[in-house]
Amino acid sequence: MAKHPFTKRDEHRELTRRALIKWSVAAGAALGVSRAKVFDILEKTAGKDTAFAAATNPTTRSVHVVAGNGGLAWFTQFWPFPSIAAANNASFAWNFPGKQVLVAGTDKPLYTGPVTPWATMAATQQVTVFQCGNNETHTQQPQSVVGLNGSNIFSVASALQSASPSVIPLVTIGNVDVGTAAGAATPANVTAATGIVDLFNSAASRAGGLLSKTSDAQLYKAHYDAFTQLNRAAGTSTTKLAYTTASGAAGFLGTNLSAKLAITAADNTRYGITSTTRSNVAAIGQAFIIGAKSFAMGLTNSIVLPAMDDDPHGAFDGGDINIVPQQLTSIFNAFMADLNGMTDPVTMENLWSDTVITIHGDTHKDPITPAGWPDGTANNSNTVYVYGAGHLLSGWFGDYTSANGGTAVGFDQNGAAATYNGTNQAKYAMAAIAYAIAKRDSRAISQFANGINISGVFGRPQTM
Amino acid sequence: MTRFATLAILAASVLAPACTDDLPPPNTPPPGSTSGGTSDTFDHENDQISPWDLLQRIEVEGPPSYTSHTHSCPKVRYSNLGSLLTDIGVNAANTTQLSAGELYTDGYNALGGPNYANRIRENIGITISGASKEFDIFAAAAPEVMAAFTSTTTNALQARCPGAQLFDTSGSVPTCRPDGIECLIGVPPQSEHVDYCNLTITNASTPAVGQQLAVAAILAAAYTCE
Repeated sequence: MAKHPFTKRDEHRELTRRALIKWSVAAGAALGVSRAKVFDILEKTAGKDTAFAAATNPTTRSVHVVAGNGGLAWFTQFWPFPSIAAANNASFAWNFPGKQVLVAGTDKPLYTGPVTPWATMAATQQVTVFQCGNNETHTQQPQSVVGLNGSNIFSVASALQSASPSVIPLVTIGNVDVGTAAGAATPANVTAATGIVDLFNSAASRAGGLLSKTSDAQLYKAHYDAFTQLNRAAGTSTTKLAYTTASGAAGFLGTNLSAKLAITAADNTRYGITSTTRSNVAAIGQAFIIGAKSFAMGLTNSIVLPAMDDDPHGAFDGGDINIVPQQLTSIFNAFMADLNGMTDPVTMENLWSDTVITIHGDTHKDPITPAGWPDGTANNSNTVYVYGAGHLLSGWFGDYTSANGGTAVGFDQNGAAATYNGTNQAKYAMAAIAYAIAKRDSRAISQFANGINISGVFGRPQTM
Repeated sequence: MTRFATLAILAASVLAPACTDDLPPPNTPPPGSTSGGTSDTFDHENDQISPWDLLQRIEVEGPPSYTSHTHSCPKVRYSNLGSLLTDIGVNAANTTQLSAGELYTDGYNALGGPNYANRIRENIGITISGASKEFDIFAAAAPEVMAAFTSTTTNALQARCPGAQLFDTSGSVPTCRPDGIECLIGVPPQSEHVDYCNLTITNASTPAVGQQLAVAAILAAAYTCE
């Protein structure tokens, strides 16, 4: 379709604005003006939008939850299938019949229930859910709900995020599979969330390292500063900013981050993690606690973690359905509250508007059969949940109805209801996730999306 | 003078007093302020660059078009850092855990290496993550560098700086030697380089740690910018 003249004009204007930002920041550096000052000047001369564009990160951070071995089924109690919730049928695998609420103002239908996290957020900020991919029962590494034209969405995320360097760009926990993508970072893997703490310590600051003693670390920083002053150019306006940053890095090198990242009793209280919390739920909470702190310190851009992995066939029969979702809710709500209370070190904005969260799994289990909660799903369907930080249209794309003993409803490239096609829908969903991480930059995701249009269909159009 | 100009002057002379009568009373802002008062005007930021400071800076450093070329401070590019490590006697391909070579290889992203596949050029700006990773590599490389000076087998460092030694170990506490520092930083050192180096050794928790700290700090300071 030919582009509308207004679209062409806006794209041209965006390029011009980028040129202005680029020139301004470069000129500011040449004159020894701080970046913050440049943004101030841009705000006064070119407007708030331009200053905002100059200061903002080009991508969001991301957290990817892989709920394998049936673990994804728990999340159907957070955000029920619209038709299942609307049916208000106590015999379905929805634990809160009669208590579901249709969220007003979402772009697509979205129901919440008593244990839905983030329920109080604005309609535009609510989750996006894609009925997509294939049922891959009993695997911890589902593939059909992470693939985007041959690339893995977790790796695609890290490739996009490479525009914002961090100490360790991609952290994985356990045996999650991040696949490959052109330009993706090599993941740093830890066996458990608590291992992330050691990951960020510099080699020098670790036990036995050159800077493991505080006095040596302070001496290193002081003498680094002294040595740099012997560089004749170190005092010039054009190098001031660089040397200031490097001096900060010299101090950072000797900082042992264990104390800053470690999980405290206050963290556990905030997340509702107690001795009665299921260990697999607590593990998610620990990853979230350390993840939020890592994001706030600019240490990483993306964390991929396994979740649940418990194949809850007996959830309804044994009563776990009245325990586990509530514990999960407490953790998800606390994580969002943490993000909301933390500031991005680059953009100086709340992290909740700068973080995309996705939830994938092998099967959401049968939504109309609580007894034994079978693994099979109609049309071999699967589900992906996405918190798009406001960049995606909210609500469900696709559905799952009780018709004919269960029917998965798909969607087409325009977002309209269609016959279920798990492969194609997964592509749209993964492209949408990439679009959210790239903050609506269609050009940035083009080599992965390969022509899939997200703007205005699954994602909110880029604002000028 | 044209008739139009005459009329304009006449009109201005008549209208100016009339306008002046309507002006509010003068409101002298306090020194350093840009507002008349907190209740009526916005006290905007007024600490822009002084043109006189800017002129003086340009006289000393040259115009931005010149100084940004000669005195800019881009980070050391990834491939150049590898060459540098090799030149100072470090095995950049070392795969031993937490060795300088391993940190260098695994630090590609943190060091802002180019992402050609994704059409992202090498990040030339100095960032906390990139600089701290580079300094971490230098810290890990310090023992290798010291060993390269004293090694009995010829290596890249000795080939580049034949006969140079970094430390004089004849006394009770090692002291730094200018020829060794020159070999590390690539230019003749100032006396302060040697002084700071010696201070690092004496002020560290142990002289052995101090020697490594000195090497790490000298390298970090010398190669902050490319």
